[in-house]
Amino acid sequence: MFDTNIKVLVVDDMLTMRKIVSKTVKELGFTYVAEAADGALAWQVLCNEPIGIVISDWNMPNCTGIDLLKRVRADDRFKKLPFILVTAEAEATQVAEAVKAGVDNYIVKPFTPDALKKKLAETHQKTAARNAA
Amino acid sequence: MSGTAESKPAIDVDLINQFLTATKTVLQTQANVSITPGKPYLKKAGETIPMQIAGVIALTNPAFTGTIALCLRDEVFLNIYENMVGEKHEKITAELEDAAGELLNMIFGQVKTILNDQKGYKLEKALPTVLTGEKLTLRHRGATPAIILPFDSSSGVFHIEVFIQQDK
Repeated sequence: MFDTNIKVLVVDDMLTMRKIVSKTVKELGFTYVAEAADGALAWQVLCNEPIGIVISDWNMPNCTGIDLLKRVRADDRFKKLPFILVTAEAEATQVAEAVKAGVDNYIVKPFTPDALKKKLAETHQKTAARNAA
Repeated sequence: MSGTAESKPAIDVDLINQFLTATKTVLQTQANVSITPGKPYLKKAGETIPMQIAGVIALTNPAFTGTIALCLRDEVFLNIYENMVGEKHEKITAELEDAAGELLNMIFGQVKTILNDQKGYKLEKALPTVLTGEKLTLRHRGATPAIILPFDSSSGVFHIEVFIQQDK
């Protein structure tokens, strides 16, 4: 599992979902959680704070989660940053687009705290192996 | 499925069933609310069902347009919100409203995934809108009536309104 001292960035235009994800992440032991209401605001946080993992909604106004992911992967500072996309939709074309853009994991709403915990553990394994290579 | 979405009638039983299943899954998983679906019926002219908050999403597809609305009385919404977020509130405020849109967004997302991937539909992405008011009513302009999907739940009764217009 990730070191719980890393800072988690939760991105969602819906305050309710930010609260749910942030609360769950804190219940899993993470101490530091930052929040942003869209991809553009998330980018500002990324550029100013040491973020250890991003958990971002896909469907947001201004800058979507997939746009944020592409921007993150195109920047040398963040291209190895663990990135989980959260979405209400899991269409095959959408999953393929996220994988192509370099997502590390994908969680479909609705989800339980256990489901998020499992995705975080999977993401840690995957990114640790990738970043060690 | 027989035929494509383009040849479907305005009232599609399969589509309605997907909304029933998705509503049950979303409320149970995200808010730990147990759900019992009632029998769907056509909304009567002038019928009003008490509600103080509704999440609304536009349905856009090559074969039809329409809306889906998740409609709740304030006490039902506040109880579901408490189950979802772990916060108890006495009244609906602007800070809480987006939960109605988010729940509907999850329901729509589940339905859209199944209909587009497995049933040949081409439902487009859409962001939810939230309406609030003491005497909130939804009126639809079209040749077909809305379909009411009633639900009983551990948080109280609520309903979903599906309005489909085969106008393309």
